[in-house]
Amino acid sequence: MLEVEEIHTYYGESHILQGVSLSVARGQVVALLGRNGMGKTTLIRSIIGFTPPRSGRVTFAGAEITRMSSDRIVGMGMALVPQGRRIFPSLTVLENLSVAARARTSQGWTLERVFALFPRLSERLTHRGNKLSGGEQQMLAIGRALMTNPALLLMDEPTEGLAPLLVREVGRALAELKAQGLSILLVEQSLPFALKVADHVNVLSRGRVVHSGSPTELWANEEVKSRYLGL
Amino acid sequence: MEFWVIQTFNGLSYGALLFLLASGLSLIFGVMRIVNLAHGSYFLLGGYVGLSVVWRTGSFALAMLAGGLAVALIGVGMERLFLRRLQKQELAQVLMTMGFALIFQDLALLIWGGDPYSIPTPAWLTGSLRAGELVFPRYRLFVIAVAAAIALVLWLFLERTRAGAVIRAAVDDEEMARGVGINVAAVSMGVFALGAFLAALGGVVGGGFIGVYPGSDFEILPYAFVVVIVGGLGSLEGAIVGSLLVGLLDNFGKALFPELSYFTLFAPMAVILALRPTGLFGRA
Repeated sequence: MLEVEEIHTYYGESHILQGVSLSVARGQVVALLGRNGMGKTTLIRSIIGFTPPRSGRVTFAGAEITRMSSDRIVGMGMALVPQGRRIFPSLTVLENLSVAARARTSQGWTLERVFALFPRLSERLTHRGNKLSGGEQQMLAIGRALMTNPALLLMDEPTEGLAPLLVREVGRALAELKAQGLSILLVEQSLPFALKVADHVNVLSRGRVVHSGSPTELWANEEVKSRYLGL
Repeated sequence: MEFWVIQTFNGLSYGALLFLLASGLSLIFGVMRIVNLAHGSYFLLGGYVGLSVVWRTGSFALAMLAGGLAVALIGVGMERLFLRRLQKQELAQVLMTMGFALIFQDLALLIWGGDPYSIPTPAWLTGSLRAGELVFPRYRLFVIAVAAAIALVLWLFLERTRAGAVIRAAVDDEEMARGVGINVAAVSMGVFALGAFLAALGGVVGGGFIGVYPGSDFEILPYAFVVVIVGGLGSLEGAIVGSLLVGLLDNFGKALFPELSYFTLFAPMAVILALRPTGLFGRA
């Protein structure tokens, strides 16, 4: 479904991603772990087209998207739940969802389905984005991404700064989406959270994938855990 | 008393004219972050095109429409062919739009000559309304009504339609708007066309009371920028409040302290910027 091959991405002159390769198969949840500043968010930005890589290839659903504009990539069925949520502050909850809506298939996401996943949002319809709590913003960010009818969801630290109860809520939603067959590339700081939902795990350090394997393998690998994840 | 009422009225009508210019400038900046120094040229060209249409057809309504549409096309051409290539290059944008402004100025001089004109207004808009000792020119009432109607329509469009929400999303966070599948390039083109249309409409409407003459583009441009800076970039409420404030300040400044009129306009702007750097309705 998603193939990232040897990409190199720069911010100005700083060489952030130094030849990253990974793949996400249909229906798979792939976790991306690593300490802060190791290039996880840059990798997400490179895939969605915010910061295109200088070299290497990204293919999605059989087409090369390496230097395609983000809106076209989203139109092809990729969606983003960005770091920091980035809810549109002057839009209401309803508007945040409706600007992302893409009419496509009959089994696509609708407002009703998003509200069934996050009932909390339906009680906040006319609230502006900047009047929501952190947890509500996270639910809205996920709902907004779903409204584009994605086949692949990129999630950048969806549990960042959330209280344990809300982390569980996000975890429940994630498991539900996985059960419905959505492919997910998940960036996470919390190892237990990531290992619970992931089918495959990549560890990123200094712009390179330094470990790739199953969650159980990683859990057993004390060297990788202590060296790259600080555990 | 009379003095105050009449000066307030004059200030409001000039503010109404400024709103037509500033609302588009503010939206364009909000979505595209482009400082468009050619925005005053849209006002000038709109006025001249309107003048020619009134001369040919005698219809003021047609002049408003034709002036607006012709200049909207020019704006779209500028955006698609030139400004789109200069994203995030502020200096290049300033130079490019300044260049366009100078070219439009010369072009207008070449086509319409250097004489000042006034656009003939329909008979039903000439004359005045009287209330006791007070005299209100009908045409200025018309200008206020046009601006109020456009402010209302713009507000309904931006706040009550999906297309309006899409534009606000692009103003809030352009990158994230693309990240939810919004074609921001198409939105930018639409907003640019709308902004140019409104400025040109202002040119036609303004042609009926301040006239159409060489130099009116660079005369009104600083006012539009003051409105946008005071009101807050990308905010419709800011453009409304800013226009009225600047219209009133300018008018009272010129009436009460004619030798200090720039001071009375720019000093409050400096104070507002010092206290609220993002403008009255701007977001950080």
